[in-house]
Amino acid sequence: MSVTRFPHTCLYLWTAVVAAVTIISGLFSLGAGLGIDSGLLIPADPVGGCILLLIGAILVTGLWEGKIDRARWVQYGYTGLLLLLIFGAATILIGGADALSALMEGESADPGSMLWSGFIWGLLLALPAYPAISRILSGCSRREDT
Amino acid sequence: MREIRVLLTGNPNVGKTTLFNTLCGVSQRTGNYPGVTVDIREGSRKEGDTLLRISDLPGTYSLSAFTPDEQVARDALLTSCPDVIVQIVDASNLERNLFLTTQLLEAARPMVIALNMVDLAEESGITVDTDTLSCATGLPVVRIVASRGEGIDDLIRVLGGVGDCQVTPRQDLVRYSPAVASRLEEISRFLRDHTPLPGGLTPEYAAIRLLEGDQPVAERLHDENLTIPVIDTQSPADIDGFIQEIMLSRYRAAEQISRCAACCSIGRVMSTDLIDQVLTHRWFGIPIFLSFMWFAFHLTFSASAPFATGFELIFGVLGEVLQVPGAGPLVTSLLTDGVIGGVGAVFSFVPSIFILFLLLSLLEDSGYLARAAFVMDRLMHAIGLHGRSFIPLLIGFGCNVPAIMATRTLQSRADRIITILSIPFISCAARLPVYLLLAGVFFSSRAGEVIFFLYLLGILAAVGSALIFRRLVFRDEPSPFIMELPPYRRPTLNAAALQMWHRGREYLQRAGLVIVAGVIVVWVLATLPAGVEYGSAESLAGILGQMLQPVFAPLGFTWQLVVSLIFGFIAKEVVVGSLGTLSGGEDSLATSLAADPTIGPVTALAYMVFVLLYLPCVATLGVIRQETGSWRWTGIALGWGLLVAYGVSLGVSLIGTRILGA
Repeated sequence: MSVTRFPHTCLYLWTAVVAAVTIISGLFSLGAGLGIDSGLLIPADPVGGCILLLIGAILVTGLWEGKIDRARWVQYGYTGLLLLLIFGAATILIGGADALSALMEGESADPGSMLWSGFIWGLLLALPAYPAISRILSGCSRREDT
Repeated sequence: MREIRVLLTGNPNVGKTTLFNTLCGVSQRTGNYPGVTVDIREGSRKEGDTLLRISDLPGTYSLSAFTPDEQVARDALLTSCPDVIVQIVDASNLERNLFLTTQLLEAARPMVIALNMVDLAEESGITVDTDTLSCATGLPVVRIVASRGEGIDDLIRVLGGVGDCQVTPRQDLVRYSPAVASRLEEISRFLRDHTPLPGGLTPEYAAIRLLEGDQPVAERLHDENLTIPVIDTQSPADIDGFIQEIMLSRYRAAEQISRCAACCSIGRVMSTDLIDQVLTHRWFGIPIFLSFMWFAFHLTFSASAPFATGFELIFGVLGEVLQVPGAGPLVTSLLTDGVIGGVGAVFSFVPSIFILFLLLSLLEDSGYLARAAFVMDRLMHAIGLHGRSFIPLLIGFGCNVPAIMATRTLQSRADRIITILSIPFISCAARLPVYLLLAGVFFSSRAGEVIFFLYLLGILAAVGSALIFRRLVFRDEPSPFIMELPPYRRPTLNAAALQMWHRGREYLQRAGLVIVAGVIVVWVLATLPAGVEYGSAESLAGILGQMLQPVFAPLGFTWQLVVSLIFGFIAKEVVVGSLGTLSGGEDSLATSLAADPTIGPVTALAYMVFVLLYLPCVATLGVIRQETGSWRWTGIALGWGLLVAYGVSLGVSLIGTRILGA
């Protein structure tokens, strides 16, 4: 299977961008959780930061192994992006529920702060890439069909 | 009315219970992993003038049963005399499923093959020719998709026509080597002179079972005073040789039929396999699983908070409405302090239990939970638990009772007992209200993390407990773990919501009565003797709590917390109910706890840890007694839980006090 031609090269580079953003936001979330002030609005979330680093590591593994066998990039890339979508959706639900809860208790809610979470960035970046990588994965699973 | 007895059988996780639910219009628990059914379930369906009496058997790969649930299936298939056996066959895994078919054909039982999941098989490029399959086996074959109810009418039509069927089952499907064949002929010739054999066994099939060293069949023939000279002189090495020969012949037959009937793309790599290489990765597997669990608990806590606030408001209004003018103070106190304070406190957390069930159902339906068991196997094996033990442990997150029953899928008694003793440490849904309440009050911004930590602690306590029992009591090695991973499926919100509703309703029905009864008993104890202030130290509850409180003083528990623990033994939900009843119905329980100067974050954390680890509830203890068949192990489960809970809570209390200084 050839995954070197356009749009796969674009997708490969896009996965690299997603991996970089995920790792950086993971580091900032973790740092903020440990009390290191970065001056950014990224929320302090040590566990979430670790999860972002994990997803980043999955994507990087795919990129690294993809240099030898591009199919490996597809399987790691697909799983990493899928995890970003699932956890991003969960983060939106959590943020929405927290805001609703605060409103019901008469406190002020700031759902906008959620936008700085690495999971939301990951979700936004993974959304356009996911359908394309799904198609490639599906192609991988049908290789050598008779 | 004509009555037809139907047995549903097949390999694990081929959709037997889904078909059973569709046929009988019931909603028994199903799951996208093996071992959900461990006992026989009965149901019926009326179709015109025919009544189908249907039994759903636990899944089995062969009739040589190893685990208790397989024995249940084997006994039902061989000893009961059904009118028809429906073998549910997974179309995407024909060869492995046909191994059981070859055995059932040898047993000469009337059979129908229900070829299930044909849609998934076709999606993955496998097409099965039902005519060829029917021709090769001599059995009626019906294509179904049990989850969508497709092909069910055809299946019912075939079942209704049992007896009028023109097809003849092929009993000569398996060709044995000359040595095995001549030995089988020798035994069956002897048995033919002693027909009828018990349980409707044919001489030919009884001969095969005897040659395989099937103990129950040998015992049954022995009971009939049938001693077979050839069998009695067999050495264990002979038996092993015959077993291998027989199994190989069956596999060859299954492979041959599968090759004729199924057509699949060559060199196909399934996307499931590609994803699995990452999700079950040596290094990524466990962190991915923990990430899913963390999000599940975080989402449960956050998403249930608005519902809990809503419930609190409703119960607050109800409390005011129930203060009926003219009603005696005792009745008003029973309704407001007892029912509203206690039951209301617990029911505020019901939405969170429903949300947790929904999330677990989504994970289960997707096929991910089976991967979790696979991923955890290496860890489980290292600590002395069987990899398959993880499935009962996972079920334990819902309720410990079915989790303990699910240990029937384990082959070795040692593995079963170790798992049974570990399950009570897994945090069931009933404990969630306690965490939600106390974590919400004392760790508001970090409540999600605290709850995740408690669940993790439960898993650690379970594996630690297994390690200790394996090292000290059961020194043998755990048996190897073989588990089939189901394909990934896109979970549907509808199916997961239905699953959530069934589990949640079951929970409410079971817990509702116990909670009401529990809080009324606590209310009586908090009210008596007459004339004392409600819930004061002079009340019976106060006296009882103060009597035991010194034992818990090192943990920082107040007498109210101690009384709630005592009643939590009935059911863990009653802990919050009791706290709510003792605090009275004037303020919300959360407000009362926040205002209590004797309870701080450290005490709250130690209390949550104690609730997590201490005594299993009465229902769990009952099922431990039933499954181990021993009061000794039941007593050990009781004492061990208390010991671990006290030790860990004391540790939390001491370390917490040192760090926080309060």
